[in-house]
Amino acid sequence: MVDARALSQTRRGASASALGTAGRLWRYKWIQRGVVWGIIVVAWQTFGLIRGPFYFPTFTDTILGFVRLVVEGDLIVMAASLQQLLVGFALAVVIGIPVGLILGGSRSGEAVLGHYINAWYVTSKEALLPLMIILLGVGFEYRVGIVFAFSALYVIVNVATGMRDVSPSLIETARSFGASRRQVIVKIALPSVVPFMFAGIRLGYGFAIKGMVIAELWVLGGTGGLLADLALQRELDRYFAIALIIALVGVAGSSIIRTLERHITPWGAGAMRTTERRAV
Amino acid sequence: MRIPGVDVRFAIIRIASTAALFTAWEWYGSQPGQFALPPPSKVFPALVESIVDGGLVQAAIGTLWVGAVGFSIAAVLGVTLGLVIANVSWADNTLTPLVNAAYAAPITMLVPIIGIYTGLGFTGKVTLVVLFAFFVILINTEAGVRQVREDLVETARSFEASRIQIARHVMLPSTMPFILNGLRLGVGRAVRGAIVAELLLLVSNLGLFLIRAGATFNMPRLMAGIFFTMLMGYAVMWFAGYLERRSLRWRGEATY
Repeated sequence: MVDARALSQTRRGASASALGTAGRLWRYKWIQRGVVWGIIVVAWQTFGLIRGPFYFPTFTDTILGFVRLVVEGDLIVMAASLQQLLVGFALAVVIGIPVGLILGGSRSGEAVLGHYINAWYVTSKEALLPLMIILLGVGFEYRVGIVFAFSALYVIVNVATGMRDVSPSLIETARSFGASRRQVIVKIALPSVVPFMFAGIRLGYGFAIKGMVIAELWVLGGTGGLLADLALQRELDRYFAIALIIALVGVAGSSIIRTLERHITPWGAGAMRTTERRAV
Repeated sequence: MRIPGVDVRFAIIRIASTAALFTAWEWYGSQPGQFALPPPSKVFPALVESIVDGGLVQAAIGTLWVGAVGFSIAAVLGVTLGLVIANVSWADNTLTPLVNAAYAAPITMLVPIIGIYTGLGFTGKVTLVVLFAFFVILINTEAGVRQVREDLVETARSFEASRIQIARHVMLPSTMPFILNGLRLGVGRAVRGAIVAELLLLVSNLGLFLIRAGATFNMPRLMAGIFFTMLMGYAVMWFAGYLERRSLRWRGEATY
């Protein structure tokens, strides 16, 4: 246990007083994490033991739940969901970037598209579920469609914001030094838009997962169907394990995008906080 | 002709774009055999009818009430915990990774089990709304405290300002816009949370309206419900934005 490790190190620091050493150790980030997360795990375990597995699985039950996921073949179901998620997300990126460039880059583009994007932004996408199911069925197209509706918006809006953010004085300066149109785009507009683009892609990825989960919960298929079944049968250990995996898929994907971002745009990485922006 | 504050060319393009979409939609929707996408000439009468007979308005009020209760709880919890995390370094070190993970995770995945802990009634719906709105408020509050300029705090301190004076006159004015931004985003999420709760957790209000229309294949009514949801979202977000700008008037400049 992590608490025990902290204690034993306290005992080893014989020269200083026990409290002083603990105080010094407490300054380390990972010691703090070990202690606080350890407390959370212990509390979780205790609560689970008291309330029983039909109410709240313990920490160890949840870990064993991962093993049961493998044995029961649930991972195959989840992989299929992930594949549909990635198709929808890829579509959102491929379509979202050019639309965002048009929306943010030209006044007429904004006049034609701006109010639709705004309407899309304020509509709760969940309300589209009963319509999408009639339009697209319950299979592949429906799931990809929902994921697209959830995530493309954020790519579009962030790319558009980036286009509007390109500094006019920089462009003026480049022009007055005789830069060609192509040079202005490649050397000035692009470097300033790409960090926004990555912020949009990262945000869009998070919403793609949200869309996927709700799409499958709605039709009780794939991972969503699995979750609903497990909840009904009160197999909460597997349920918690799946929930943790979904959260992990979110965190992992987002850090992959962040790593890409750091390699491609070292000047902008980290400058962009991933937060929702106003559409127009 | 020139109207101050309005770019006429811009407005004309916008109106033309809307007219073109509606014409195309009307044409497509009126094709024989076209069933799933009814034309506007059927959707808007259905919208008016649903509003007049009271069903839609009552449903929307019910949904917004769930959203409002959940949002209030999320606002209090989110701002408080955000202030704590931003000011206590060990809480920041230990809780921020968990908060970030929870912020990115789809809250909807808890829908099938939330009933076990809260029951399926009002409490369950409100709990879902709280979970939807809480994290974005917390994260924005934290970001607000973090960007307070250290030099201003130092200056205030060197003029012997008390802790309370620093909090009141230095920290608060520069944190406030971030908190309000978080609250505005939280409003949007609370509305979404309420709609999710009423579609998936306990079918009622707007969720019931949409599901009933969809299940009976009453397409004009379904489209009217979606259109109304959009208008409701627009009204709520506009109002939240208005309150935000109003609360920031003392700054003398608009943040947006």
